[in-house]
Amino acid sequence: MDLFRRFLRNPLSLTGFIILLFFALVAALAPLIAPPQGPVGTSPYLIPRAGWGTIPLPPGPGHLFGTAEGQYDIFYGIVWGTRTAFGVGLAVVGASLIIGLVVGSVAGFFGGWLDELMMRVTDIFLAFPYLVAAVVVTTILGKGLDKVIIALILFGWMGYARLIRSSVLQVKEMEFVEAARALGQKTWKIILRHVLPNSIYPLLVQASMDIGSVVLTAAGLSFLGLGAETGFADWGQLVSFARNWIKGEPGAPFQYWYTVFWPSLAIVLFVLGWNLVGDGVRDVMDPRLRQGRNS
Amino acid sequence: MTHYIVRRLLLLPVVAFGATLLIFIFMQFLSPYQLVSTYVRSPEELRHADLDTLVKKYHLDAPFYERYFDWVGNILHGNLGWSATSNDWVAHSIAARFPATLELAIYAAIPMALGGIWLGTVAAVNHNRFWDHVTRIFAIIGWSLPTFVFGLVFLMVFYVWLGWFPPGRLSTWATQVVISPSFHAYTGMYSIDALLNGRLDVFFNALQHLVGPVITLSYLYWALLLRITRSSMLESLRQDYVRTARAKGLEESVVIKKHARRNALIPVATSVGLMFLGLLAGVIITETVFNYPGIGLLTYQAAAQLDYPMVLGICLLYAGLLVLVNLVVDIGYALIDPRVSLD
Repeated sequence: MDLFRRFLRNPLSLTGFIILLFFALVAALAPLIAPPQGPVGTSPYLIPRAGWGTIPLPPGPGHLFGTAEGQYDIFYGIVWGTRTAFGVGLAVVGASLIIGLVVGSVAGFFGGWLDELMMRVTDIFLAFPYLVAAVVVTTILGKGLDKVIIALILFGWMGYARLIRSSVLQVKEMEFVEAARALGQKTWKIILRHVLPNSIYPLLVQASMDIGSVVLTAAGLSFLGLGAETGFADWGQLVSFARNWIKGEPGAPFQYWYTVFWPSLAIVLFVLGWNLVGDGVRDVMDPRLRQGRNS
Repeated sequence: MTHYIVRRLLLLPVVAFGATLLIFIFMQFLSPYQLVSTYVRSPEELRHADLDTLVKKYHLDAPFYERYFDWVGNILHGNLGWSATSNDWVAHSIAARFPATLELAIYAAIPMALGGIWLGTVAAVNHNRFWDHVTRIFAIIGWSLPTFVFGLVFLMVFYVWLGWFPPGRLSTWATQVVISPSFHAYTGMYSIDALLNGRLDVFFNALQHLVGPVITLSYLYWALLLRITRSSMLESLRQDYVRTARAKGLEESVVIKKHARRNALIPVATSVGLMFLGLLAGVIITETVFNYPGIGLLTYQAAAQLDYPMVLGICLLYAGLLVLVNLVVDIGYALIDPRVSLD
């Protein structure tokens, strides 16, 4: 609780926390804020269309934020896209964290050839830039958010594995681990009860800082047309709808500003929220920064 | 140290083997027809022959390990297949597009390295004061801003509204100069070729097209490098030799530039190497937004058209680049920092 209070005392972390709280509310109350309009049985994540024309409509009654190319309602897309953003960010980071935790702790604790093997496999996965790997995997697996999540997990666990391995290596030489071993505890129990709780904090800090960048990458894939299916409530896709509309009619350079502005604002605020929170978490959790005051 | 470098070099074939194996495993998710398309040596083959003949011809019914070694052999001979989207050999169109991306990355890297290090120093010297907070907020905004949003807004303001920086790589008239037989393509990088050919007008036209992509590509890395330099500088400013330098009455600027920063730059140098890679990989989105015809736009077009040979070829290119740059960075690190004696 003391940690949490210190976290909230930092104005930047507090701002981030409020932003995320706001988005969490929007995600939870999505059916009330933007009631689904399709017939019963259709997915609420499909954005309703105001018509079949291509030209975006300006904000007005019925379309609070206007409509995007293809007359998809921007307000609806942003509200339901909040759920998509939370889902992708948490699923990818959560699953990567678990894979990294298993690989890193096993490699670090057992050492020897197993460690060597697992770390070389990690090196191999690290031989691909994140975005390039994600593009290749989604191209092969096909379109859809689930494929994006798989691709991002597949190439997102290595950092955690390396991090947990190095802290396991430090912790396993400590006396209390040796004591547990001397008392005849089973190996997996030692890892679970004694080693992991003592080496997991840097991992959590890293995870909270990574959610923002995962959401950015997923949005980037959607922007490239490799992410969510057309019409699915996803912020990256809404921005990609805006690509052809940065140019207004002659004399009106910013005529279609709303197609770019609203979805971009949602992405930027969401990622900013996670980054501020991640930064704050790091400051509170890292005792070195606390004493040195060089946050 | 020699031991470290030798060990690092020995790992190279292991990673190369693993990375190609991984790509090959991904390829097994393709349907037989898609898979065949990554093997054929000309478009006519796909049009005229039927699937069974092609499967037989390229031994796609052979056991897994045989197919893998066949495939690696193909790569080593430079045969990456035929790309339907660019209507050309994969290897050939990658080679043709690469100078454009390299040019973009080089122009992005130099201001990034200088600017990031400079701002990081300013932030560390003014620790917890005004400029430190300003750069901190700049950095946090920097890595919260998606490149495609930044690029689109840049185009709206500086192309549509003000008309200063158009998308693309060259204006039409300049393209005609570049493809004319009297213009020698020494490097494939238009701004440099233009200077070598003495065409200042083409040079400025190329620069004009580079401004937007360069800023879009590099602002994220400015922010990252700034933070890395800053924390490394803070560490170094606390060292005893800095106190000694101050105690013996050296000027503050000398203490900071010669004593503190030189040592702080060792970890920064490795980051710069890795960020150059980040720039090369980051071009997928930036080039797509600015319609800049390099590897990034090629990747986008290939992925959108499900051009598997091309996507896989680009993946191989990036894996190769990444392994190579990592090797250079690691060895460079061991060379500049005598304290590194890893085994």
